[in-house]
Amino acid sequence: MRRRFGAVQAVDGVDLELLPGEIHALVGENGAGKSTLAAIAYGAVRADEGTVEALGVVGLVHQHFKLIERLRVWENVLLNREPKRGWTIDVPAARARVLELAAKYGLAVDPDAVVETLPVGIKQRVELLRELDREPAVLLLDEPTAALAPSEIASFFETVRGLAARGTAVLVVTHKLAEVIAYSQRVTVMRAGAVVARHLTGETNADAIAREMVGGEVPALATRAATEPAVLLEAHGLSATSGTSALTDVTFAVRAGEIVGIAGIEGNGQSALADALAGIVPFTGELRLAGVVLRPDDSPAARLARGIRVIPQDRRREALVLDWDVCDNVVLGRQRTLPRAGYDAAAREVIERFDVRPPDPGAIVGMLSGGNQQKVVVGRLLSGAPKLVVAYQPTRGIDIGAAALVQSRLIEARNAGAGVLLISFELDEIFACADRVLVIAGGAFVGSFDRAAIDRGRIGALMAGGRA
Amino acid sequence: MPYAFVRGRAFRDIVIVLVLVFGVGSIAMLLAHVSPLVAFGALFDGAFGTREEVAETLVQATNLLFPALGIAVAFRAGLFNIGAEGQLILGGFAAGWLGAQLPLPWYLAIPMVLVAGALAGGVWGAIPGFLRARFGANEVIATLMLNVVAVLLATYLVNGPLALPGSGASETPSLPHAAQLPDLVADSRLTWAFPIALGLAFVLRWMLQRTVFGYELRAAGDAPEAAKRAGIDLRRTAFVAMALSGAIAGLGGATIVAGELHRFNTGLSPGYGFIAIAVALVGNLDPLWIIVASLAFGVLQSGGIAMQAEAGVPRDVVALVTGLVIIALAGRRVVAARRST
Amino acid sequence: MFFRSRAGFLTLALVPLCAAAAGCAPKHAANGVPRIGMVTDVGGLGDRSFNDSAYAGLLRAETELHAEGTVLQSRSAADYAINMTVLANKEYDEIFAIGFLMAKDVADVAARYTKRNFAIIDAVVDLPNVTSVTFKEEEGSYLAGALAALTTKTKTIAFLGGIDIPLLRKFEAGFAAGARQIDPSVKVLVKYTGSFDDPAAGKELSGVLYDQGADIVYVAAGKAGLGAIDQAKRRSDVFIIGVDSNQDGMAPGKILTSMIKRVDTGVFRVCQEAVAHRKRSAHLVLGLKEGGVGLTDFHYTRSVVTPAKIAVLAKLRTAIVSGTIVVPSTREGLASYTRLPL
Repeated sequence: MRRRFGAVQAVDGVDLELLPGEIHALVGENGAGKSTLAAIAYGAVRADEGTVEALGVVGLVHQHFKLIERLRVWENVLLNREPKRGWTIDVPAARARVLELAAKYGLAVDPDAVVETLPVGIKQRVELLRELDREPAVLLLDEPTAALAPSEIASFFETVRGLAARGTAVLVVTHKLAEVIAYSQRVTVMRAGAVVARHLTGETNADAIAREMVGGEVPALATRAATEPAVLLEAHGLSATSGTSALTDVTFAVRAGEIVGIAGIEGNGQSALADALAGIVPFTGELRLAGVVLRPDDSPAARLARGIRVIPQDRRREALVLDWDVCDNVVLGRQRTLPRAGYDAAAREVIERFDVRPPDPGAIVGMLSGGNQQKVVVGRLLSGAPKLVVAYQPTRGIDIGAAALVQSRLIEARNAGAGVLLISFELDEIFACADRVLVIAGGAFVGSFDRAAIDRGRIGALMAGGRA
Repeated sequence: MPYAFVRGRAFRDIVIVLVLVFGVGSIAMLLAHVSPLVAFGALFDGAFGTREEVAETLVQATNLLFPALGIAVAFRAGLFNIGAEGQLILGGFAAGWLGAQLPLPWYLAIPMVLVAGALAGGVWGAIPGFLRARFGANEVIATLMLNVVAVLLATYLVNGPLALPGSGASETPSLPHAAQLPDLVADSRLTWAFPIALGLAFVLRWMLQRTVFGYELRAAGDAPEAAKRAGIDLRRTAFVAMALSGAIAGLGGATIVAGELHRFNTGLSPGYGFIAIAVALVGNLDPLWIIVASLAFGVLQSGGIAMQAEAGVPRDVVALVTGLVIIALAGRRVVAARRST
Repeated sequence: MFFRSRAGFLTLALVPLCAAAAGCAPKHAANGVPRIGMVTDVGGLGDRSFNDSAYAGLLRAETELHAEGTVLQSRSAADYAINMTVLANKEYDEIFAIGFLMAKDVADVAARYTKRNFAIIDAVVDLPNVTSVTFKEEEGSYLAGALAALTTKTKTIAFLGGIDIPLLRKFEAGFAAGARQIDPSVKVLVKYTGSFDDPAAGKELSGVLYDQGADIVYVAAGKAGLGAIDQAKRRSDVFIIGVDSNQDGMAPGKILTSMIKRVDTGVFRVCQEAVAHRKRSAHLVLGLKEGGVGLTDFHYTRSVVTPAKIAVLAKLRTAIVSGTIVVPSTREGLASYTRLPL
């Protein structure tokens, strides 16, 4: 069997072939066209030119699960393919079919569980089962491990290997090079819509792939200067809730001139921590900034005035006014202090320091790439002299160059004496930047490591330990 | 590129409106057994035929411009104020009630009458603003309900405690001459309300684009979550925007009373506050474009009656078209807003 | 529901083009047909009363005077002035405002359009270009009161008005005076509903009046009268007296008579003046003498309204027309009214 993917819409003619039984990694930066390619192969997006040939059904597991949260597992798995009895659904048969499927692939699920009550890892199993029920000859996995704990990642790839062993061709779209090296047989690297390299995985390494993705050397991070840490932020018995995110009775400190990395899997209380510091939700317990007690019900404005700057996780919704231009977005939060005549200069300063492209204060932010949008956000929040910077997933979904720039500016802020709380789901990012690592799981800190004593394996285990 | 984006949207809106007005309008006219050519001929003739008719078109445009500007202020803050009708009516009531008993020279009486209208409308707008800020109450429902309350309240006041002995109409006494807005064009009902409305549009445009308050108001409307995290007090913004929105609509009611009717009557508005929603949306919530939109709808309003008189087409056609414009444009905005939150 | 003008559509289609091109073209119908506009109050056409009666006058003017009529209905009080302004701009020869609610609007618009002619029904507007048409409702009500006093078995009759204003007191005073003329011992109860558009209130209050012993209720309360008629239908041995139009057929046998106000006559009289370009009257007052008010022909109630009673009414009518009886139109006038020996 041979499956051939023809030319692609997200620019130039891409040829890609998948062999039955192989795990093929497709890597590239955000915007390189990998997801578009996967969507074309699946048939969700039409190619302007070129053809897709597949012997058998193509299945796709999305990065963001496409499950109906209010429905049960079996309803999601068999959606649109429900076994019928006359005009009604044959529920016992449906349940049996899901159990059989789960047993066959070693993906244990409760067919009657309501999806919204399930943890992320199980949801992904449901998503996978849904595709497997169609017995795909080709399975496309788009960033499948983004929401999984390290231990879950390992078991996930065990399942994938099992599928491949049955003759399924698997394409894993990812930006996590460690997984590429560990689990794939072949790797295709894309940049700007074109294939720039193809390798047998055994014949290459992560650094080489990274260079190919970026199209040059991976930019180096700013060097960390020696600082004299003095306690800046002290939290005692801090608890807060923001939506479904909860933080329970945590005690920690951040010193001026240090970056504290909060390592954890999404959904373990990080949002509650960020929002409590930002003044979006109230907290209980005690919080001091430079010795001054913070009121639990401060408004965001009060926190800003104290020098706390929070880089939100969802820049498009929580940090930017997408219909506005760069200039007005740079001003946001400083509109009362900055004279109107100073808007343009403030914008140009951020554009220059953060290399925003296009370098036009009048450019509409919604039209910028994710990386440039994030530069505007971080540029705005780091201007002035912030005392405490809370960076929540500051490089999520942006290209490596922009990510390196953002991380470097955070390190520079640290060098200049700011305390930085770096909340990230990417361990690599934390290891690259943090002076200290706190591991968060189940809304509590379950481990603390100094930079010199970082132990990837132990941190991964602690992260997973907090999961239900 | 960004401007092409914005302009493209505005352009599409204009196409929608033209299709609705001429397409749906023509179908309705054919159903009334009248040639659309004749009917639209009568409509435009009624709106532009003579100097006086142009003046009446401007009168209608003015009556729509005030509430449309008020609506735009609220909509720009992300608040769907559909209570302009009630705010306008109470503004008119305050103007009529106060104006009728002010033995003052014109330079005091006219400003006081207008301010009274703005204050009353402002209070009426501030109520849903407060409910929203304090309790998170949905302003759409609150403003819609308050329309009804406004009419009933005004009707009760003019028929009950403030009833005129010997009059069967639900209205206040006539305003003394000094409290009436002077005419702008002889032999017409066009008064100084028109230039006041135009000036207000420019002031609002300046306020929205150039002042800190306008900046915060737009931020709250365009990206509430980002605005909140940037330290903007969404509750305060909502309250002030609603009060201002109501005040502008109330000012409109005051100008109708002081300029056209010279008294308050509970039926002073044939639905200006609702038609103005379409005006504000067609004007893309930009005060200067709203001037243009109000002129277009003024043509429909004044020409619509002439069309009924001269071509026999019921002017419900105009109401039909206006309603469709609201559904088409507001529906899209509501969907967009829901999606972004 | 709409009423169209009868001008040639082609002419109308061309006029706006000419107007647009030339800036301003005369749009007065070229054939010299007089154009008459009418603005209804919020009751609108189809009220089977006031507005319909006015419209009947307009239709009569169309057939007999070869005029061209246009009606604009008002949905709210705001429409009064707007509608009149549009008709004034369209250079109508005569513009009718149907109802006293429009008095201020007529005064306003007429003061601005001094070259146009206006007419208002049921109110007096003192401007050179406004003809006021009012009726001596007290005279017709007087006959209604007399008939009620002749017919009642409980020696109690009642008046149910809309809003307590001078116009309605004319009905009240005339009715009570007519009853007193026949029999001073007949009790006349008086109530007002407080509005002209609330049938529920009419039903409830007429019920109260019947319960208080009245067996005949004279209702002058607009749509509230419909509720009173409904109430009368549910009871035996009681009557209603209708108002404005001939309402007798709405509940045959239950409506003793209706006090007809010939708004159509008023409208037609003004139209005649307008068409003939005679000197216009400033104020037309239409009473029994002018055929402006009167009772119906008792088509459904002949068994009760005997020829003897009709003879009495005829006598009273003659006395009023000749001036022997002067019917009071206010409560003060009623207080000093004493029955005349005839």
